[in-house]
Amino acid sequence: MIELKGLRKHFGDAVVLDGIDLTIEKGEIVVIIGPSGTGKSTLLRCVNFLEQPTAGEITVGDLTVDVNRATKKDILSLRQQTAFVFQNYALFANKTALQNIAERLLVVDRWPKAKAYERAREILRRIGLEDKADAYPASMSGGQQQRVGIGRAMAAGAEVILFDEPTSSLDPEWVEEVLALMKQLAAERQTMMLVTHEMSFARDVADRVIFIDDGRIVEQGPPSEIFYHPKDPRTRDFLQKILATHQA
Amino acid sequence: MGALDVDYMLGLVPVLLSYLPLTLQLASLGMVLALILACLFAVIRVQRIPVLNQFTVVFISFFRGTPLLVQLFLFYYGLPQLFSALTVIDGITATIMGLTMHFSAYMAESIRAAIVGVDRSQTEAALSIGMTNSQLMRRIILPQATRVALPTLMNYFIDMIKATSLAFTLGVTELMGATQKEASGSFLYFEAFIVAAIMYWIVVEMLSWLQGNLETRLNKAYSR
Amino acid sequence: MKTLLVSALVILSLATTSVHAQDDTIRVGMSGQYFPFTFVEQDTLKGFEVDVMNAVAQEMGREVEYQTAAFSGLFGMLGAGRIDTVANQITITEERQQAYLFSEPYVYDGAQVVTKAGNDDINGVEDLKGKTVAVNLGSNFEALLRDLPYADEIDIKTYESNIERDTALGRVDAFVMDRVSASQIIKEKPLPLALAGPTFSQITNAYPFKDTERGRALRDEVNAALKTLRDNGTLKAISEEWFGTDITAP
Ligand SMILES: Nc1ncnc2c1ncn2[C@@H]1O[C@H](COP(=O)(O)OP(=O)(O)OP(=O)(O)O)[C@@H](O)[C@H]1O
Ligand SMILES: [Mg+2]
Repeated sequence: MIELKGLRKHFGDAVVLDGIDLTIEKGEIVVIIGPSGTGKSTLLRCVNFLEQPTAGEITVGDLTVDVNRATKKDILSLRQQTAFVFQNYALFANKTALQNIAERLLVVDRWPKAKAYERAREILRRIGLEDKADAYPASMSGGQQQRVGIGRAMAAGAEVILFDEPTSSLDPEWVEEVLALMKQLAAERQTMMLVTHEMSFARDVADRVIFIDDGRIVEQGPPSEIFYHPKDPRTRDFLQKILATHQA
Repeated sequence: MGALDVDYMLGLVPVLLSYLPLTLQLASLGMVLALILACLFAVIRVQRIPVLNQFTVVFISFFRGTPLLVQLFLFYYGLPQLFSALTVIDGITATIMGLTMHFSAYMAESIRAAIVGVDRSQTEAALSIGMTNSQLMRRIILPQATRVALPTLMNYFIDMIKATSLAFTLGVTELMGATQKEASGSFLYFEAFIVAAIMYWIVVEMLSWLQGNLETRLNKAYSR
Repeated sequence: MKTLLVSALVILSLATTSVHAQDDTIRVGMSGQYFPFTFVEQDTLKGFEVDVMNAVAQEMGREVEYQTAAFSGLFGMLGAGRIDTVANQITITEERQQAYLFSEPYVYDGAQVVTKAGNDDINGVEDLKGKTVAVNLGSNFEALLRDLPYADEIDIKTYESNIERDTALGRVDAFVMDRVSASQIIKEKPLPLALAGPTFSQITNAYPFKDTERGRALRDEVNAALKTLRDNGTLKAISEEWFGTDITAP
């Protein structure tokens, strides 16, 4: 379970997150949508402490952290519980697909080598890239790299995986295979918090859709409700624009 | 212009060769220590560690901004004048100290550039899975930065080998000092210096060959 | 990587713990690059300076330890107490006398202009006007030249070494060195050089010491030794062996 209470983030004078309250159940798939620059990425990054939030409280599993009192240890355990999938994959360029996935098991969780690599191979099998175990990122397609990125996030069984526009950097030909992998994860009831412009994916897979504007949650509900009966004019406005361009 | 005195040159080879190990010892010790120092400085600079960062900035500025010979004189002649106990710093040690500090200042900057050049998103990825800063540096950033910095660092190493010739000013007779002394005894300058030049050249060629091999190995991960 | 580091530190610590000269050893600095006073042949240090100093040290009953370094480093080593004296034709000058104690002179000599053979333009120090003249870095010949009334018109180049070769090659018009070693170079070496005119300033060469208790004691011992060697003809013999003349007397 994830719980955010009064989460705020300021960049200097700019208020980017203006008090986010949000609870996500175990196994729930939450899609976050909203106009550009409204703080979607910042929200995910705060949960992972890639950004230091300005105020609020974050609970992940058994761990509750007041962001202003977070110790180094708190931050490390929070990060271990919240895996991140980046828009541009961000694979370690000096490591093979297998090593990318095994890295956190070896270094952060301090698993023995044999066990870590066995686990990494199992994940490679699940993401359908067994044959790429020894390939370096530079020799893989965008789709393959992002699947390894997801594999890396899956590695240690984090409480939640945070996806920040995982398909936005991909050439269209690779989008499907990545979405398919995410669907597979969703089917396994992996808790996910996902920022995406893939509206059809959101509609088919999400348990809940959250519309964010100006650093606040404007509206949330099941996809059928948000997509077909949005209450707030800002949501309607946004969906019209995005559906016009994305042909969902 | 007379013919080259080949016999003299051949006779000089074993003599000068016996000074080559010292030259190499000065340079390689200087290089190892300079590398360690330079990595430390670079990390301090990149992570902006308070106090140390300011110290490093001044250190780098000083050792880049003054000639190596001046630094050697300071270590060897200057310090003992201020603190007579420091006479224990002999010529070899002072040379290694000078080479280390001088070249670490240069190398720190190129290592820093190489570190900064590693895609920032990999840093975030490493932090996001719970790695500490030092794990991030050791396992992700430095290996990649090494590859980028390698050619520059090799050039510094080659420069350093040549810079060991300054050691004679501190009374350390290495290859260059031995050559100068032999040449001023025989007045066969050309002969003596060509023998020394060939020795330096062979050493540097061997290093370049090593560098080529190393680069191929390091690049394996990045080629398509 | 770790083993490399350890061995590096081991070698470094070995390098630092070099044995220190005992008190009864006199440590003597020289360039090893000033023929025929101090030079190296097949890795052996030789020359007039070496022979004289060996005789002096023997007379003193001390061991002698030679330390070669580039000329520009020798006075630094003396100042830092790394050597006791310099045996490298050190000329007594007022400036140096302010900083160091000098022994009695053991060489009497004069400054000599040397040109490429066949150069009729320069027949003495007064002809150096408008010419490029080389001197050794840190030697007193530069000061001598700068004291000339027409010093502004002389382009003085200072050299670390190989001063005579650049003159022979025509890179400079002349060099100034002491007469003795200049004639020695011309006599023995295959370089087309010639003495140009008479000497222009008498110089006396001696051993400099630091003004410390040890420096004063050594200076006195050296003076006593020099007197004995002068009286028993050893200095003269060494000089004639190297130069064919006695340069140790005025
Ligand atoms: N490090 C930073 N310093 C200052 N301002 C920042 C920083 N990071 C983000 N911002 C600002 O915060 C606001 C929210 O950024 P964020 O990236 O969270 O938006 P987003 O909703 O993810 O937008 P997009 O859909 O374009 O990705 C933007 O106005 C952005 O300019
Ligand atoms: Mg974003």
